[in-house]
Amino acid sequence: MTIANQPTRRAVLAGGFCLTRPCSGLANVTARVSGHRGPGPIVPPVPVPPLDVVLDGGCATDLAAMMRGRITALQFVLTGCGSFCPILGTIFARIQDQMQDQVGGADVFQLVSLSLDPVGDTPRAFTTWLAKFGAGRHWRGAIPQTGPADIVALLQAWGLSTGTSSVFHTETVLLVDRAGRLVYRFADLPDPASVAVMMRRLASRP
Amino acid sequence: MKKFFGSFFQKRTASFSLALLLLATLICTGTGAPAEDQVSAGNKLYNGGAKLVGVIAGQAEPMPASVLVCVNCHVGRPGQAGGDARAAPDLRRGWLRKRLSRRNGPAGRYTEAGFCRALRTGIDPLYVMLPVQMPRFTISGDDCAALWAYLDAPA
Repeated sequence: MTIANQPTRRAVLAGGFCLTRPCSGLANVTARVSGHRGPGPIVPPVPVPPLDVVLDGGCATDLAAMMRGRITALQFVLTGCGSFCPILGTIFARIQDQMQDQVGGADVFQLVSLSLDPVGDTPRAFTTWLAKFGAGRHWRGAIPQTGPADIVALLQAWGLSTGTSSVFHTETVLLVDRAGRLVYRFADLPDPASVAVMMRRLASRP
Repeated sequence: MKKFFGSFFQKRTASFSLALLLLATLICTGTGAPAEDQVSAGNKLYNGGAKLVGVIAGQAEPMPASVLVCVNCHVGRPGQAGGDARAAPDLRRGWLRKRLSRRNGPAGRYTEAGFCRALRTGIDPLYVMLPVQMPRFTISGDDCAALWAYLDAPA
């Protein structure tokens, strides 16, 4: 059983219910029930769309392209945010510590902090922000080259809460598989050890 | 007999006057209010001048004190920088002392004991779990009393 298509408890119960009632099939129920977009496997996986970004070093690239071929943990920050973002930075720093041997090895894993403030954030500000948390070369900051409204639309398409219009934020962490697809969503401010375990499990998949 | 009662009432009047004087002194000197150094200690805790130890619920390792400063998320006092009331509750006296209902349950307000329990366990006075964004703190009784005194002091 793969991580991505692991049924939720609710789906299993719904499947059990199907044994006594006429249903269209467990697979359909699983897909439909898993579509509630809470924490857990994202079924079916959602491809990361093409998105022009500038990395903390100043290089321009495409978000979807940079994610293909690696297991990626993705979080959302604003370098000027002093509330939850420092906690998110600490969580990624701890994931980095736990993945040290793997991250430094075969280029299998990476961490990406995606800016929610394309107007205010700059590559230089991101470099400073990452340095505060001891980010290594496998932890990148990416600033979308698009307007804030497009980012809100992107997050909403991924089923993420964006808070109020003026303080929009999300403290979740998403996992992206080697094919560049969102496959797992963690609850807000997740345990770094749990993220590290899940990244290793994803890496063990063929 | 008359002399006895006269003396008795004189003594009672004197005692009563003394009690009144003592009460007036207490009110005037504000002994019922938190001590100034307690409010000052609370100010430091709230604004990052003193360290708080806390953990995000579900995580094993405490967060660095620098990312757990109250004013990072909660509104600061007038004239002080602080968080955004849209991101976290405004913890000033007006909000803490206000009777609020949560999830359509019975209304209630924070007290010092309820506040300290919420800080430590993440369960508010109405037995509602605080969101994960609010850390759970390991805080001493004195520090919590200081923090409460600072927040509960009139602006």
